[in-house]
Amino acid sequence: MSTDMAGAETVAREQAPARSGADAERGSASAVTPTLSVIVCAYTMDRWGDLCAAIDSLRRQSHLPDEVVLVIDHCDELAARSRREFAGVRVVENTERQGLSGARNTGVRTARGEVVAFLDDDAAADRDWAEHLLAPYCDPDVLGVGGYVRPDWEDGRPGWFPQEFDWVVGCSYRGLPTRAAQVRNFIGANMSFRRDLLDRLGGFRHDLGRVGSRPLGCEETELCIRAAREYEGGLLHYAPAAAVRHHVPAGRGTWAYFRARCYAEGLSKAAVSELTGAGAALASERGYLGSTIPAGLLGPLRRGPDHTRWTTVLALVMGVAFTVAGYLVGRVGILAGRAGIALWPPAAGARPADRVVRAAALAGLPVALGLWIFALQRVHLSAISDLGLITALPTTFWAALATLTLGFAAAVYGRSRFSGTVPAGYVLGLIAILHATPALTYPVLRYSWAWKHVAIVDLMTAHGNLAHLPSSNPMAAYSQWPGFFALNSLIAQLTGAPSAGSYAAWAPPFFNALMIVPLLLLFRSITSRRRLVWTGIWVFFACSWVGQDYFAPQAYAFLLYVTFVAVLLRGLRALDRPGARLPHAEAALLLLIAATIDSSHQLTPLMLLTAVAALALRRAHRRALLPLLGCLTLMAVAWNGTVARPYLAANLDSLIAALGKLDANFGSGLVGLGAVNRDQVLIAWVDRALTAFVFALAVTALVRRPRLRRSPLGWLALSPGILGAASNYGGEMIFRVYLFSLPGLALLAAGLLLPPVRNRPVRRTLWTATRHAARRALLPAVSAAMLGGLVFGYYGKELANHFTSDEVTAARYLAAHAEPGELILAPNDNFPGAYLDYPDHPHIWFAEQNPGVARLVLADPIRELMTLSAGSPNLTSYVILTRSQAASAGQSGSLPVDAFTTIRTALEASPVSTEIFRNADTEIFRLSLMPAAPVQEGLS
Amino acid sequence: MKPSTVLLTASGWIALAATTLPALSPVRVAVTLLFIALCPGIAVLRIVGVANPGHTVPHSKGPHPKRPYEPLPTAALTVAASLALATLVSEAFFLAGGFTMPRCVMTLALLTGVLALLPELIERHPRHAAARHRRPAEQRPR
Repeated sequence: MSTDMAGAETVAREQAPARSGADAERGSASAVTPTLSVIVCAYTMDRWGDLCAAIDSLRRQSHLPDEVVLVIDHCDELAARSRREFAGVRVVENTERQGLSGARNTGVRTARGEVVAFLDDDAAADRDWAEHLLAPYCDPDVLGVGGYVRPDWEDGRPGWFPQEFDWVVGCSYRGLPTRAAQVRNFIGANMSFRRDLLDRLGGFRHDLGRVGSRPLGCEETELCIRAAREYEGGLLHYAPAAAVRHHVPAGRGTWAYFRARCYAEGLSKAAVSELTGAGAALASERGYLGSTIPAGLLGPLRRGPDHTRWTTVLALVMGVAFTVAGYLVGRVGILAGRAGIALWPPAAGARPADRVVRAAALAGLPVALGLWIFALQRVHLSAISDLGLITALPTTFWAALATLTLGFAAAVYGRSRFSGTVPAGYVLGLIAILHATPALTYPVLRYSWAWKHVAIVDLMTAHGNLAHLPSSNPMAAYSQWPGFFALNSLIAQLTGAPSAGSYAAWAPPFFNALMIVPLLLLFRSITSRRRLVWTGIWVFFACSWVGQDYFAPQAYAFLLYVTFVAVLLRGLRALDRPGARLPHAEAALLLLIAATIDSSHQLTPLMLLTAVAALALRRAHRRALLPLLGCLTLMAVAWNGTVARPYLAANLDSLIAALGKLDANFGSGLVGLGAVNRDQVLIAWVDRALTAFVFALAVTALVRRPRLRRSPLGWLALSPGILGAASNYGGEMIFRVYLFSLPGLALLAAGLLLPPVRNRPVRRTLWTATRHAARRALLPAVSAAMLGGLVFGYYGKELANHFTSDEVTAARYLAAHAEPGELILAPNDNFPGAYLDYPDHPHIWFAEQNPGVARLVLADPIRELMTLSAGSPNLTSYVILTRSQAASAGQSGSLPVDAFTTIRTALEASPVSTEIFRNADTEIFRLSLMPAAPVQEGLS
Repeated sequence: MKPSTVLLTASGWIALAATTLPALSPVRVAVTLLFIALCPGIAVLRIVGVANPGHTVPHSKGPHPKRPYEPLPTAALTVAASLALATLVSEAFFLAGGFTMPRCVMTLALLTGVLALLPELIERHPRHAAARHRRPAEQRPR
C-alpha cells in the first residue's frame, strides 16, 4: 500500500467549510454526473475481513458506483474466494508486474466508468463518499479528486504518535487543508481521476514501488505531478468531505515502523525528485517543514506539562531526521547509480537504517585511510610544541580518527554480520594512523631510548659477544637480559641490514599489529561475544598511551607475556573438570615462552609470576597452575641467580629499600610536576585522567556485569598492581602496572560500553529506542575521548622525542672525531646517537647526575666541566649541546630554561673551549688545554 | 616423506643460502624472516601434536576426543615459539661469546630439521607402530 505524504500546497483559495461545501457540490453534481468505477486492489488473504468491509461500504453508498472492480494481485486463493463471495463485483487478476502500480493499471484498463476511484482494501468509505468525490468533476478543469483518510487504530492511537505524521500510516495528517482546496497530490488510499487522463498518461509507474527489496511508495505523487504538467490549468481537487476510514493494524503504531516508514518516504522522495525534478517533488515538503512541523513542535509545548508532550516532540524531530536521512541516502544512491556503482546491494529483509550502518562500516576504513594519507603530507614538524605532536597535526588527521571510530562502531554494532576481517581492518587502520605516522613523517628514528637500543644491537653485532657492552650500572641490564638484542642482531645480519636502526622506526606499528592475535586469543578465551572481543581490542589500542611499544625489550617481552596468558587461559577454559592438569605439551610451550621472557626483560617475568599466581588463587585451576607456577619461579630464580646476578647484587639495597613503599613507588612517576612547564603539567593530567577513566570503567564493569566478574579478567587487570608495592622501577612503575593491566582493563571497559545481552525480547517503545540509540553512541563518544587522550599522552613529549637529521650528523661527527678514551659531556643523553661510540668514550650526562652537579655547572660552567673532564686523556673532552637536549631538560625540569644559553655563552667566551661543529640544532665544543682544530660548519 | 616435511627440514638451509644474496634484497628479507618467524615454531607444534596423539584438552564442552584445528592459537603459538627459539639460540651464542650469524642459523636449521623429522621417526619406530596396531582405529594418530 502506498501512503505518500500528500501535498498540502494550496494554490487556490480554500472554499467553503467541508459540510456546507458538500451541499454546494451536491447541487452542481446533479447537472452532469460522470459514471464512476471504483477500483479496489487486494493481494493477500490476511486482510479478508478488511476487504469485505471495503466492498460492503461501497454497496452502501448513497450514490452507488456504476461498477466495482476488484483487482487481485497474484493471489489465486483470494481471486477464487472473491469470485465466489462478492456478487456484482468484477474480479480481475493483475496482468502486469506484481505490485500496487500493476494492479491499479490493470484496474484502469478494465474499468468502464468516466471516473475511476481508488479505495484501499483496508479502507472503508463513508456513506456519502462517492457523492462528494464525484461532485467536483462538473468542473471540466478538474483532473482528479482526492478525499480525507481517517485513521482507525486497531489498538488505539499511541500517545506519542504525532498527528503531523499520520501519513506514516497512510492517512490524512495535520497540515493538510481542512476545506476543499487544490493540492499537488492525493493520498493513495482515497483518490480518483478521469479515466481518459490515466489512459493518456500511461498509468502508474512500476519502478517507484520498490527500491532494492523494500516496498516504497510515491507512485501516485509522481502521477499527480505528471498529470499537472501534461495538462496546464488542470486541477487536482481535495475534497475532505469524501472521507474513508483506514484500518491501522497494531504493528504500525510502533516506533520501529514509524522510523522505517519515514526513512522509506525519504528514499521515495529522492526517487520522485529524480523523475520530476526536485522543485516539484519537494514543493509541498518545504511548506510542511516550514510551517506544519514547527507548529507541531510548539503545540505540545504549549499544551502544558503532560506526559506525552516530550515524546511527541521527540517523535516529530526524529521523524523529520529519518525522512531527511532517507532522502539524502536516496540521492547519493541515485548519483552513484548514474556512475554505474550499485551502492545498496539488495539484502533480503534488511531495514533501511541497517543499510546506512552497513555502508558506513564498509566506507569508514577507506575514507579514514584516505584522510590520513592526505594528512601525512600536512604534518609540519616545525610546529611541534611543548604540547607535543598535537600542534603539528592537521585537522584531517583528526577527521581520519573520527571517521575510523564511527566506521568501527558501525561495523561492530551494525546488524550486518561481518567476518572478523572488517573489525580487524579497522584495528589495523587505527594502529597505522596512531603508530605509523612518526615512521612516515619523521626524518630519523624517534625517541632516545630507541637509539640507545639500536646502539646496543649494533655493538653486539659488531663484536659477537657481550663483553663489549658497558657494564656500568645504567647499561648493565642489557648484557644481563640480552634476549631482545640478540634476536635483533640475528635479524639484522640475516637480512643484511647495516644497523637495527634501518627498521627500528617501524617497531611501534609492528609490535601493535602483532599484538592483535594474542589479544584476540585472550579475549576469545573469556567471551564468545564477537562484538565484545573486537570492542575490547579497540579499547586496548585506544588507551595504550604509555608508549612502551618502541624498539625495546619491554615491547617484545610484553608481546610474549600476552601470548603466554592467552594460551594459558585458553587451556584453562578447557579444564572445566576440577583437578585437571595442564597438558605437558601446552606446559612445555609455555615454559619455552617464559624462558625467553626471563632472559629478555627484568620486570616482565615478575608480572608473569604475579598473573599466574593470581589465576592460581581460583580453586578450580589451582591444581593445574601450581606446578606451572613452581616451574616459572624456578626459571626466574635460575636466571636472576646466574646471568643477572651481578646486576641484582649491585642493586639489591635499593630493591629492598623500595619493598612495600607503595605510595613512594606509585608516586615516583607522578610527583615532581612543580618543576616542569605548564603544557607538560597539562599533558600529565590528561594521562592521569585517561588512566583513571579506564580503571573506573573496568571497576564499574566488575560491579555491573556479573559474567565479567566471574571471569579471570579482574585478576588479570588488578594483579600487576601488587608489583607496585615491590619496586618503583626507576619511577616508571605506575606506567608499567597500567601497561600490564591494560588487556584486562580493556575488555572490562568494553563490557561496560557494550549493551548487555538481552535474554528476553524488549518491547520497542520510543523510550527504549532512545535509550538504545544513546547506548550505541556511547562507544564512538568514549573512544573519541580515549583517542584524544592517547594522542596527548603518547605524543606529548615529541618536542624532545623527535630528532632532526642535523642532530644525527652532529653525533656522527663527534663519534668520528673524538679520540678513543676522551670524555663526552652533555646535559643529558636525549639526542640521537648518544651511545654510538659508547665503548670508546666515557660519558657524563651532567644534568642527570644529581642536582648538585647541575647547580655547579650553571654557577661556573667552564670550571665545573673542566673538573668533570679531569681524568680524560690530554685533559680533552667534548661538550655537545642539542635542541632535543634542551627540550628534554625543559620537560623534566632538570635544568632551568636559560641554562643552555648560560653554558653556551661561557663556552664561546672561554679560551680553553673551541667550537668544532655547529649546525641549526647542534653545537659541539672541545674543551682542552691543548691547541684546537678550527670550526667546521654543519652540513645544513 | 611428505613434501611439507622436506621443505621444513630444508627451510633453515634455504634461509642460510639466501644470506648470500645482496643485503636487504626483497627475496633475502622475505626468506630469512619467514624462516625466523615461522619454521622452528611449525616444527615444534608438529611435535607437540604427534607426541600426544589422543591429544590433550577437549575443546571447551562436549565429547571431542581431539581438539579441532584452530588457526588463531596455532598462529600465535607458531610465531611465539619460533621467536623464542631464535632468541634463546642467539642469546646462548652471545653468552658463550661466539656469536656469528651462520653458526646461529645453522643451529636453528639443524634444530628445525630434527624437530621436523622427529614425527616421521616416531611413526616408523617398531614399538610405536606395534602400539598403533593395538589401538582402536578412532584413537589412531593422523
